[in-house]
Amino acid sequence: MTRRRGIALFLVLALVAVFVPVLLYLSQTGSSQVRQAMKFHEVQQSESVALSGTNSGLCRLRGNLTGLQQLSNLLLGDTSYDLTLKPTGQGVVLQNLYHLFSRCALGRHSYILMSDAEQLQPDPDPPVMVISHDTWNTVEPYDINLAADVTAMENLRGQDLLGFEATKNYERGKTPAQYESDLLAKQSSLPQELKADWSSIAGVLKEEKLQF
Amino acid sequence: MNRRAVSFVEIVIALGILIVCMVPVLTMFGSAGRAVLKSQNLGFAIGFAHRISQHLLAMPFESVTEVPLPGQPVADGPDDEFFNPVSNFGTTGANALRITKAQTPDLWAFLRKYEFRYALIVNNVNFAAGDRMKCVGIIITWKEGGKDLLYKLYTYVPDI
Amino acid sequence: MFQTSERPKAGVTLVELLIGTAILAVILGIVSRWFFMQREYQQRLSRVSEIQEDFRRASWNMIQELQMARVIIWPRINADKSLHSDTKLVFKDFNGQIISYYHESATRQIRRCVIPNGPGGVVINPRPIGEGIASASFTASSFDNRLISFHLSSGGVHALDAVYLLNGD
Repeated sequence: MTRRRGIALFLVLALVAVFVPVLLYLSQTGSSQVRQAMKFHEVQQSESVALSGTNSGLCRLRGNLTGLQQLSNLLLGDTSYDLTLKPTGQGVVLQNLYHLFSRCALGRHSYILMSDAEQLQPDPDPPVMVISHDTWNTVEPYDINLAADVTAMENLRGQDLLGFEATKNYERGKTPAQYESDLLAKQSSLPQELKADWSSIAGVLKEEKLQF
Repeated sequence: MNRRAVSFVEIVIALGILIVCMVPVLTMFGSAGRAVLKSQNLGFAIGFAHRISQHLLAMPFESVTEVPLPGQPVADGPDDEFFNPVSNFGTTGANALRITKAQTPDLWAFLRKYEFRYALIVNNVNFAAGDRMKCVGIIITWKEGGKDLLYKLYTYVPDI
Repeated sequence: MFQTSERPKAGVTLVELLIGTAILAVILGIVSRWFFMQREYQQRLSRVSEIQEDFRRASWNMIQELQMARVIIWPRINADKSLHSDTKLVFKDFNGQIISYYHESATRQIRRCVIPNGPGGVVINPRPIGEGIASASFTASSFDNRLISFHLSSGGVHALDAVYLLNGD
């Protein structure tokens, strides 16, 4: 009886040792996939809402909103976003210059869009013409209401804009023929997938080149 | 008393215990599979909705109109601004491919299997006098295991 | 005087052994068949989940960079204004550099390379943007060259997404 009891105990332990890890593994497989899908949802949703936030900020500027604005917990559907409109001075035609920040944070994900906005001064009634450009994004969890974080973003974006200035100057300094020739000279070091159409692509780049 | 063999009753009991232990494992396989399927379709719906939101920004403002529920099917759907035609590797419109069984069988089969549809709910919003913006609710619906599932994304579409 | 009955011999008979073995063989046959089926099912699940994760990663990598880009260079809509697709995408990024995403069918990857808009040679990113992607296509459909749609597929799994470029040139 003792021997049979021992065998039975061994069998039960063996069953437990086999099935419990299998159960744990399977439950993790299923729930990890759902977690990853939810993470993707948070990532995409935060980007979409931040972009919508930028559009709502521009809309507010078109409505002649002026001065520093720090608007928090604005709602789009069930998701909230924050807006900061930071005046940065006036332009040559006395338009109000702004840095516009829009942020959406979902779960552990944050998405921020920053752009320049120029609010032209019209006759007193809105809608006011607003021009937006150089929109820049970051997934770093900055706080758009904190001066230090705002400055950090302005600096990072500024560095990228300096790079843009350099490429613009390069394009302006070349004639279309020179520009296209420089591009075609790079063909040999391109990946195989790009080589076949590179002359057509270079033609399009030549058309898009800045003249002045 | 020494017994020389295992009795039938003992075999039946042992089998019963084995089956009882197998049942949770079997159901776990099933639920893991359903979870992977659900996450696959949810991931697809998320990208699907995002695609519509981006296309809305490129469309003329007046073309952003309501598509009421139960929504527009994508497989075998009409030409729209979002999905059909889906690609064109030729140089004229005659080469355009639509999501049909003949032209894109793999994609068509996937979309038909789960009956993916999209609907748009459009409302005007007003943050500023004289300005125009639409709040569009993008609703993606599909069927999974006989159940109707839904994913929603809201976006603002400015009049630029 | 009664003789004590003989103690029964310990052990199993041949018939009992045969019956036991037969029962065991049937049970093992059912269980092993079930295990092999579930292993194959599990491998299929893992493949699908890996593909999904690959698609999510590739989509997000591309969306983040494309959103700040300035113009789509290639593909562009056809002369008759119909949409046009290609397995490669060329655009100018926020800094004005020329970037290309292209699908390598042999390795099932989407790769990225930088063609400097200025002096300097082509730089191919050592790590791919996306892996495990059997086919990828990029489609241009807007007149202003600011909207690009993409379709990724692999093993019956699909991803359809798009990006509208926020910066005009």
